[in-house]
Amino acid sequence: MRKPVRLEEQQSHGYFMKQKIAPWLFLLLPIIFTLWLKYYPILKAAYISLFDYDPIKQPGTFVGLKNYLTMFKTEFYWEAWSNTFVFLFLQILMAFFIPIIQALFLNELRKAKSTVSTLYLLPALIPTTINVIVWRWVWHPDYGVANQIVQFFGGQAQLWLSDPELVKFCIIFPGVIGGGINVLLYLSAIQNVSPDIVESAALDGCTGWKRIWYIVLPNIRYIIFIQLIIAVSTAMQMLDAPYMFAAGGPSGASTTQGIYIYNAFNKDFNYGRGSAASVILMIVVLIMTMIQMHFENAERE
Amino acid sequence: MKKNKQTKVRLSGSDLSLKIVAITVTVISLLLIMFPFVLTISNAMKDNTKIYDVPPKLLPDAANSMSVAVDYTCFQGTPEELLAQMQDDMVSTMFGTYTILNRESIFEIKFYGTQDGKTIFYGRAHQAQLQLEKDYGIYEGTVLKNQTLLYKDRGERAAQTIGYEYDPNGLTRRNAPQELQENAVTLLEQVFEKKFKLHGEISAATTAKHNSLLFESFAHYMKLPNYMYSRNETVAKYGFMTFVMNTVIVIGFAIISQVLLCSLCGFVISRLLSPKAGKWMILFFLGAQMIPFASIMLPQLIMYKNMGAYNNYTALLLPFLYPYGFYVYLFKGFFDKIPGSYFEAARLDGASNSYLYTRICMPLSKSIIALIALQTFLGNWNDFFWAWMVTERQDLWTLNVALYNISNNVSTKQNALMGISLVTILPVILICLAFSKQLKASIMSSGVKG
Repeated sequence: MRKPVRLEEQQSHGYFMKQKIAPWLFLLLPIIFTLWLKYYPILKAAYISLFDYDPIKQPGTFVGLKNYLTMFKTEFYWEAWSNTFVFLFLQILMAFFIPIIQALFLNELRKAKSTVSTLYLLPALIPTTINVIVWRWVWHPDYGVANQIVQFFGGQAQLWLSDPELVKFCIIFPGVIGGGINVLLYLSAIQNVSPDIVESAALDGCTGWKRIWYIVLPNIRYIIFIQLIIAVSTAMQMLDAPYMFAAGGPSGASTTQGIYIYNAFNKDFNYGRGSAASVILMIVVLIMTMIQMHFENAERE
Repeated sequence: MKKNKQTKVRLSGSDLSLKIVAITVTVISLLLIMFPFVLTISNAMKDNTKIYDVPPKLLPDAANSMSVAVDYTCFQGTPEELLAQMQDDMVSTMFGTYTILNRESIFEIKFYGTQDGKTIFYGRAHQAQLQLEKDYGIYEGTVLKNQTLLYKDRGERAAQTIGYEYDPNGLTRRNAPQELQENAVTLLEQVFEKKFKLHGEISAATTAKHNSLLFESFAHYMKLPNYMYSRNETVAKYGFMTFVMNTVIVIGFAIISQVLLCSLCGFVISRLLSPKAGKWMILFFLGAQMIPFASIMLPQLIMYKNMGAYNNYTALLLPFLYPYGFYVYLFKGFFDKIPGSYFEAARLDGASNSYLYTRICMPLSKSIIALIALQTFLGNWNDFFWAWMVTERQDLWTLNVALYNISNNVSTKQNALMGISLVTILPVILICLAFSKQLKASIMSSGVKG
């Protein structure tokens, strides 16, 4: 196989130098901006986390790992982690599998497949802000639909977003309507399952439910797994929805890691502790990402 | 033979049950997806009293339009005094009806002033308009009754804002109703029982149903930002469009910068670097994108503030000025597939790198550019936290920030909020429906590669 463009060997020395340096000149600006806008801040977070940070007289006094140690000792920090994991668990349980189910059954439809898949896109177009506006009204203790439904079935009226026990459920629940881009991703994966396999399986009597269970699902397990890891890493960084729904409350019941960090510097003005939490979160997400990349590479080979 | 047949029957039964379940699940899913929209539309069309009804109704009540004619034939005085009286009466009638008859779904009030059988004064207000004046305008924080309504020059100011037509010789285009409908009179009697008074005498009153008035509410909901943030000059002038413009600026900038930067990086990595260096560069860019926003928001805020990038467009736009790793990766994968002969031929003719990039790569990559633009749009359409952290000035707010702040304001009414939300997403939904074919194709093609 001939390498397509690399023709340096045939050129003169000056041209060779130009070909060597030119690509890096092209990349110079993007690299500088990436370093400046993304890598520098995370290093700065690590740096600030070692200081009793003073925004006026930066960077304040050096305290070593004290920020981390005091943070680990506070119960609220671990509560934020446990909240994060409960969110994660609920997200996987309630919202993650819905698009898969929707895509599987959508694929079974003969008619209206295209129209339905367009309609499935709609939830992706509603920004979180508007979702929050709508669902806060649904969960309203006095006028909301949720209490009407609960009372219709003979249940007790609930406080929903003001109830520390229920707030996490209420924040994740809007996800059960499913839809979004993921449905289309799964659908395209399902449609890419080789028709030969499906046909030969059908000859062996593997149709209907069996086909879904034994042929389709195993063939799309890779994309499901990748989406799962992406969902886990997104849920770890959850910030917007809990903040907009309940601002981390009531009594800290919806405080995720993101909100913990935000409150640390915005409410408590403790920049050192906020940075320490940032670094820990970064490490956890990094580990998740490495697992993801590991499996992706394994699958490719 | 018999056994064989049985198997066949059983299998088709399984197929049938799958089909039924598939249709049921899809229909339920679609109903669930429609639920937020239905709720939003129905709430946006209700009036401020009806949205608090328990149990909530799905369909809004029919909208009523009330016309009131007041006669001033007995009035003795100058035309200016007459005008002042009619202004006062119009304001009393409108706000009186709005306050006392809040359960009657009166969405529109028309006020006619007559003298000697001629219609000389006409004013008209939509309920949502009165709501705005009550919440943020002239009557902000007042208990509505005749004394407060007309205190000092308030009556005149309110009349000016609502708008009226006046001609002492008679308005040619407006004709006051003649009839005194019984139900309308009973309603008006309630209004003018205690709190509200009129100078003239009611000569005619009618009610009629006009459901198109429900849609007119939206036009007034859109003015909410003008009223709510009237102290900010830009918002007071352009209102909701300020936020739309900011969103367009931010998303437009993000799309342009991402397409340019990522395609450039993808081109260099795919065509000019050695495979090993290319791999490291991809990792470098992907790694940057993996850093969670929650982890860097604090140092980023400090850094931006130190640079003076706070509360201005720089703060909003700067975060998009680095290439997103995933998009670089997509571009690289795309450019890898362009046949090398294209480049070799151009190279031998002495084409420079920038020529290869602008004249060969870019024209070929329309589909991938569309995909990146779409992904950037969907990503930023949702973006909230950073824009919210760095903007204090209302004229910098993007739609998400504005909606969040409006929704958190205690005096915001739910129907107005729902109305604004609906107007915000409707254009995007319509555009997406119009281009749904291309949209789905590009999403699905990105999925195949994983």
